Amino acid sequence: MAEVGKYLYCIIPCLEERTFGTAAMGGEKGAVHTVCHQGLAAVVSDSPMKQYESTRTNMMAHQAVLEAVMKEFALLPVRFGTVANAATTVADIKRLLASRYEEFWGLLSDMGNKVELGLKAFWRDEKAIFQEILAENADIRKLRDSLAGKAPAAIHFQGIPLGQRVKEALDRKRSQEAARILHPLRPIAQQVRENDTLVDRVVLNAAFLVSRDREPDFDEAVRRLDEEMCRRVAFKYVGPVPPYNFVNIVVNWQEL
Amino acid sequence: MVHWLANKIAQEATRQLMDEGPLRGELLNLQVRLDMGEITEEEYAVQEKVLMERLNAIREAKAERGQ
Repeated sequence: MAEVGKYLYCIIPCLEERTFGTAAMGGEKGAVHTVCHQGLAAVVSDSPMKQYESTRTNMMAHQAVLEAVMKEFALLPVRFGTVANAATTVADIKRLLASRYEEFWGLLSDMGNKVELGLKAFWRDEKAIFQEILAENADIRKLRDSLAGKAPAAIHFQGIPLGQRVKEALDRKRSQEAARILHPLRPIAQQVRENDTLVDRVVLNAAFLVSRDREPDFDEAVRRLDEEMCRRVAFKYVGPVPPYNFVNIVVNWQEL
Repeated sequence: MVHWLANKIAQEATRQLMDEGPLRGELLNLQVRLDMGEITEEEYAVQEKVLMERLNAIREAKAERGQ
């Protein structure tokens, strides 16, 4: 059995000791509760002290707590899997709040009236995109045709430049379409963060920090994009979510 | 020469076994398929478990070799 430590979820502005009716990480019975210091509070639970794998189940359990807290408070997300070691007591958590008091308040006042919205876009038909690339790039067509009927070994070596050209063309196409998607959204958002796409059919994976009062405008802009592009691109729109992409509190217990 | 080649092959095999890249790629693909509604949460969890176990095995092997 792993020892029990304090799992840290987020920092909130809160004056009182209180609990949240949501399940703690690691399936422990102990409630999710606050540790307070002069108007700031860390939201924590007693959870096993271990390396938390970033599986979907674990991430969702972590996120469920943040979402419950978010219903009532502006919050600063603490990095997933942060558990204070067994020697760390409530006093250490208060020391963390005290030593970074200004920083936390600054971030909270910055984030207070904003929400994070996430938008991913995927090409529905990867083969059709590849056909477009062939149609639009004579050099790629020529290279492909020159390989027809050749021995596998030759294809292995000559196929490398072909693969590179296709990849470059795909990257160009992706950045053009991502730009088209971002164009109406950028002016509404306070900040935009584009994450790496990494998978061929992902066109865009972006997070937006948006003022609460602009959220309906943003929803409408996404709805319109979907209307215009839905035959080609599938969108996944989520939010509001905690501002993971804009704040990530990392705690170094040794430095307190 | 044969010995050298055998060594090279063994090295390449180890390199492939120790490479986290393709597994990470598969995890990302899995995430996309879930986002696109091509697989269910349950299917995702099953496949993720397999991939995570393989990733962990690589990490442990690397730790043992002091890398």
